[in-house]
Amino acid sequence: MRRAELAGYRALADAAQIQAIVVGALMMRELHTRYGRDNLGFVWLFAEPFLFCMGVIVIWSVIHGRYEHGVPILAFVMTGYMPLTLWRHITMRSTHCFRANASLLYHRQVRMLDLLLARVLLEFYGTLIAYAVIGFIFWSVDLYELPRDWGLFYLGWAYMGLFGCGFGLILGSLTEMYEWLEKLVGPFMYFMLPICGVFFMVDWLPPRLQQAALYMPTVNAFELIRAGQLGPSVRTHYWLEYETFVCAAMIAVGLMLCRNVHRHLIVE
Amino acid sequence: MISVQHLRKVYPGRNGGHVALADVSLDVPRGFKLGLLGHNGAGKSTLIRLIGKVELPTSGVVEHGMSVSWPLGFAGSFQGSLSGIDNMKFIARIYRTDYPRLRRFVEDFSELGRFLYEPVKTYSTGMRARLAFALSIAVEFDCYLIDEIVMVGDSRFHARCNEHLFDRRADRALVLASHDTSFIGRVCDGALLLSGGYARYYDDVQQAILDYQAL
Repeated sequence: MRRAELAGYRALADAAQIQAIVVGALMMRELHTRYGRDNLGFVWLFAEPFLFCMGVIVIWSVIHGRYEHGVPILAFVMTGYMPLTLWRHITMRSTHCFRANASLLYHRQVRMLDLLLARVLLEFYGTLIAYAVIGFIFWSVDLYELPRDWGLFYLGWAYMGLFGCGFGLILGSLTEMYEWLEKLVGPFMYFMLPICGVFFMVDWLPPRLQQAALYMPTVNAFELIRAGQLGPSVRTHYWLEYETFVCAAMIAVGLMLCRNVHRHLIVE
Repeated sequence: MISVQHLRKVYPGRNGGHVALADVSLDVPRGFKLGLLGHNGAGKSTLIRLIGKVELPTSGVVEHGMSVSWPLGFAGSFQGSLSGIDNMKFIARIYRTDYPRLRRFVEDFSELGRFLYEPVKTYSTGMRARLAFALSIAVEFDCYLIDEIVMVGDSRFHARCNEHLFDRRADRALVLASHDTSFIGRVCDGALLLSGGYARYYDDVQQAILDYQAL
């Protein structure tokens, strides 16, 4: 390897290390500012999705009983509402994310992407911990079985995280550029509910709708998580090539918007 | 050496926006102390933020050939709801400095005592200045960007700033924006007079001050 090339790799590794340190420090900081050091503190990070999901489980169990289309309600709700919570929290946290943290840009190694990444990662870990806690509680009383295929399970979560990352980057930048957009976020998320895949499995749909459903990126993520959780007992449909492409494209567009916003952002 | 080439910064606004800087170029060699002069709104703070790479220019290039501090000023760089200690930890993490050493220095320099455990938003301007200053000196930079902040604080703070920044760190470069012309005249090796988005460089700081006062 030529010397210049080697130096290039070293600079890249160094930059990656700085970025990791910055994102880590931002996460610590976010925990402190959001939850403070009083009362339960950062326990709320997963206590909140935990409470939400438990409530939904109770309501659904009363309405639907223990099975829906032969799928255990408990696992269905967990694999639906928990990833949905992740998406909704990322949406909430990325709206005006840059404005709220603009004073941090005074330190030039802190970049817009880091601000968003710190928030997305916190939500990601919080939701996964909440899932594990709920799973453990119901597993210990024999109401919940561990995921059949951990690979598919985590792949689904990873796609949900990547999708959330792209979505957050785009939303965070757009709300910075157009103030009024913030008002539309609530209705938009509400209208997404029936089509995002939280309430249905693709296999339950009429055949001509099945292919169409896979165009929705979250549907693929939900299907993957459910394929991992429920195993071969249910038929799942997902389109990995499309999902990968859409997530990558959203992140790329988000990064470009981010750059554009930084050019116009006034740091107090 | 910091090299700044044809910097232009336009802020969005009505009637096509506000041109804060039209075309500014400058160099800051190692150890050089550059004063920025200009009336309110002439673009001193904007220029400092651009040199610090806090904001991105509309066009132009900023290159750092040495380590450059974040812009020390009244605003920014702290999260108000966090305590001084938490802010200290954050700075130590992202600048990869030794936390215990940084903390000892900041406690000693800032003399904030138990206030370090209180949220920064409860601090007075002078207390903030002491904390910001102590942190940046503890991290150690080749060049410090200072926006007015040396002016606040009491005489004791001034004396400590002088000791740490101008005596012990006399070899460091400075970019200093201030309305205090006698201070600029005393410490700077050269001055940049900003007016109407353009800059004029003076080797003779006294001449720059005279022209500034005649504006």
